[in-house]
Amino acid sequence: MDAVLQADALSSPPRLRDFSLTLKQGETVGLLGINGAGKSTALQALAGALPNTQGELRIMGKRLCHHPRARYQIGWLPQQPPLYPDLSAGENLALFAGLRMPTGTTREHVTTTLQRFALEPLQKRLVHRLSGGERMRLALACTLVHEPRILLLDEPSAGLDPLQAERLREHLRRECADRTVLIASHLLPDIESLCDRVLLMHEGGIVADERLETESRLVRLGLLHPPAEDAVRAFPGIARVISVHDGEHLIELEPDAPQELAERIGAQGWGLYRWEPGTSDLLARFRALSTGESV
Amino acid sequence: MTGALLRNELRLRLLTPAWWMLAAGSWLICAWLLFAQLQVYQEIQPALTASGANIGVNDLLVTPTLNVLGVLLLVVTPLIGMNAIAGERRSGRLAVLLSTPLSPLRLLLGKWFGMFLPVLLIAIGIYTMLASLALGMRLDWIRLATSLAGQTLLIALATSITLASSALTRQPGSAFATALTILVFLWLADGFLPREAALYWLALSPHLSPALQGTLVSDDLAYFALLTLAAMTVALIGLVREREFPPLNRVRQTVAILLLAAVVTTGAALSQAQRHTLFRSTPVPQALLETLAAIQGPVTITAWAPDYPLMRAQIEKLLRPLQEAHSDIELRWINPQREPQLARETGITHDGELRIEAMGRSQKVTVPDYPRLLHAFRHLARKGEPWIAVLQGNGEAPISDAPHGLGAWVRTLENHGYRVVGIDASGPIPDNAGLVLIAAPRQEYPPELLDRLQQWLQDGGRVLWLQETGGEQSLQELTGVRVLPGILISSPGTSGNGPLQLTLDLPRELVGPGAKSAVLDRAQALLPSGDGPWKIQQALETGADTWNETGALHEGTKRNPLEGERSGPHAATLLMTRGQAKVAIVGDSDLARDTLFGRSGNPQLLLSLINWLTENRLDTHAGAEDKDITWTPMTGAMLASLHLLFGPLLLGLGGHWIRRRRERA
Repeated sequence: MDAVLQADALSSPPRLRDFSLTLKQGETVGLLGINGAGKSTALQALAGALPNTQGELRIMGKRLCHHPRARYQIGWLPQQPPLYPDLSAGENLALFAGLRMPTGTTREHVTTTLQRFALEPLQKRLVHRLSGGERMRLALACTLVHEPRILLLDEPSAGLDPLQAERLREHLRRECADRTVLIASHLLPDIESLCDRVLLMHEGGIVADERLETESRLVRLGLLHPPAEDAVRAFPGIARVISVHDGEHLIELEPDAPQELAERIGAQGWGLYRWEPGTSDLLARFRALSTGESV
Repeated sequence: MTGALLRNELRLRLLTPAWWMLAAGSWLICAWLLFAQLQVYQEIQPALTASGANIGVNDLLVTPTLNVLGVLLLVVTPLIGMNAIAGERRSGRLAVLLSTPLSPLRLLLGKWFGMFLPVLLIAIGIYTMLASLALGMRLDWIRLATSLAGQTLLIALATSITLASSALTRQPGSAFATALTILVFLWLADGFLPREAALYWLALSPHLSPALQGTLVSDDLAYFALLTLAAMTVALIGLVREREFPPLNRVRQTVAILLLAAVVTTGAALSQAQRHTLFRSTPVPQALLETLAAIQGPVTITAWAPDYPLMRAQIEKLLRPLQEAHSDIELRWINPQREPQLARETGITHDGELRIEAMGRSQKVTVPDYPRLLHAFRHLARKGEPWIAVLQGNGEAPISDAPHGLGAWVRTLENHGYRVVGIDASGPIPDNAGLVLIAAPRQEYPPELLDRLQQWLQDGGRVLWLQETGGEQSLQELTGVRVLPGILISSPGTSGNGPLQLTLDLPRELVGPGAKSAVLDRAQALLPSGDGPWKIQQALETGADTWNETGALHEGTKRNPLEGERSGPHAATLLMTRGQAKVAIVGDSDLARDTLFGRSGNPQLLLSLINWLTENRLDTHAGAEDKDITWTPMTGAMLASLHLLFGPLLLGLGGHWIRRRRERA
């Protein structure tokens, strides 16, 4: 897969330090971090709108500083929806369509986007009279009206009740399908339900990068007489060994690992005393960060 | 993209009540000041006419209102635009706008027009209010147009300064305070900076005033263009700093600002050095053209100007319309720097002075402009003897500014090159007097004086007699004209000024097309003798509803034929000719006194009588041509109601209505 967004050592101290990432076509990536970790700043920098930012940013392989038209490919929705409260939903949408699309093509797009996000009945309603969920849906419509290839979402479900949040997630699942998406959040449900890769951010930089799809295949394996790590890794059905500490292994099973794998390992004489579902190191570290522990 | 942003900005301004309230407030303030000034103007207008001052409604009503509008715009523009960038930044929208492909320059232009147009709309609204004065006033439309150009430039500058202030902060209140401080500093700099200081060029008022007065000067346009450019550049740097990737470093910023300062300073110096008038609305006054028409023979104008192309071009431009109006005007140039001796002998003290020679006389014009040229040409155009002898000693009206004196009229006559002198009734009439003026003798003249006057007329002399109660017998003995007893009054209800003041139509063949009527107060009816040596024509005639009332006035006064009261029409002014001799008699002296001189067409009537008596063609214009207010009281009341009440109310309600309509959607 080709990199559609590539950030190299973006820095804007003190909020962003040496921030690098690569997003590939079709990926939905979560940017996880506690409040103040620099998630919103990172997204603003990736949108090319953060003052005093050093480093390099490439969109579809093109350097943003030399190719301003590459901005057409970005749709950025900050945590605070960038809407004009004294204008109607339709007027807000028309503005963002006009700003991001060639002249003459906007009206049709506005109409279809209103339909797509079920905003037609609210077209003439002033934004300050919309509910939080409606407002976020409108903000998402404004962000997507020009069909960007890269979508940067900052805490999309913050402040919404569970019902509204779920409805928004449905919209996001549908809209994220063909796009490269980076979702910044400190809410695990958002990340778990939408993302297939997670970046953990702390103090302005990325401290971990994991694929979330393997979460269900993680196993915590306890051995009294552990063999060499290579022997465990080479055991049929084990995809990789993520970590080892005092006989405690965190392993990832292969997708077609046999059901009786635990019995087979037990039969090796390695003194199997634990076989239980594991959680990723990344999520564990995020939980640790959330509770104030050091990582 | 810029269009989308502009549409959005216009929606934000025009679809929210704030703009409508500001428009209503601006309208109300300007209307209030305009009508307050109008009230004062109506009170002083007769005195103004009497003084012959060359100012009218355009100077005393329109321009002051436009000055107030200028000050209002300095406040309104930052109020409307303080949110333009600071508000966007505060709400987080600016970063999103900057993340779009829209360049900072385009973003700035969209914001600029989105602020500029709504403020301009407010200004245009005030101009329509001023234009409505044309229902009863003679407005200088060209001056209005140049002033609108000036106000447009002011709005452009205020918009740019507000945007620059807004681009450098995230607090709209701070942006407003900064912009207002800068604009007020520029506005007031005229008052506290010495004129010779280099910074004085920054003062706003001296660059706006010429446009409000109808003149467009290159330096003023350069001032607005340079400062607008400077403010826009600062605003652009503020936005670019926000998005530039990699960031705009301090060296580049400093270089940009130094470059900008250099451009503004050089531009200012160049524009001051090359300052010239691009357009001047002041048309050639009709009075000057009429005066030129009265001048017979060639006119030579010698301009004492060094070889400064701009100075010479301006003099040529000033005189060109006169050369077009009068076929025989020769313009000669003398450089006083090359002919210093000649300049000293001629008494030339200023570069650009003019010396005009015509009809055997010469006049000097120190500062060439149309009012001074008119004054000079009036002196040259007058034919005959320059003296007007005013009889004094028998209770006549004084020629001073004393109460009920003739001071204002005397000044008007002097403006036309006459010298008005009082002569003792007991002494001889000077041979070189062009005219004898007898204004309201209160007692009958002694026989020897009447003999001298008879002799004066027999020698072909001219007399202007302004009748007031007293001296009736003397007038009859001198001219054969009898004065009917009592004073002329009109039927109650037929005169807007009360029964004692008569408004009479002026004869076009005598006065010309300008003035329509004269106002007489307590006039007396003149009854010419049918059989005498005088050829008599009636110049002013009262209506059929008038009569000579001999009794006391009270409500319901009616004509009493038994008391010799005759119904109109009556003669109020007679023109009499006998050989070379000419006599003009007016049945009232008040129209020449300071109390009534400025009213309606009185000055024109009196100057026309002088022209008829002296066979001159002096123009009969009295001061500015835009001083009259001709609307009816009903029209005035309707306009006042519209501008002071309904206009602001409709604007305020309009904003409220739009808000409610949108809220309900």
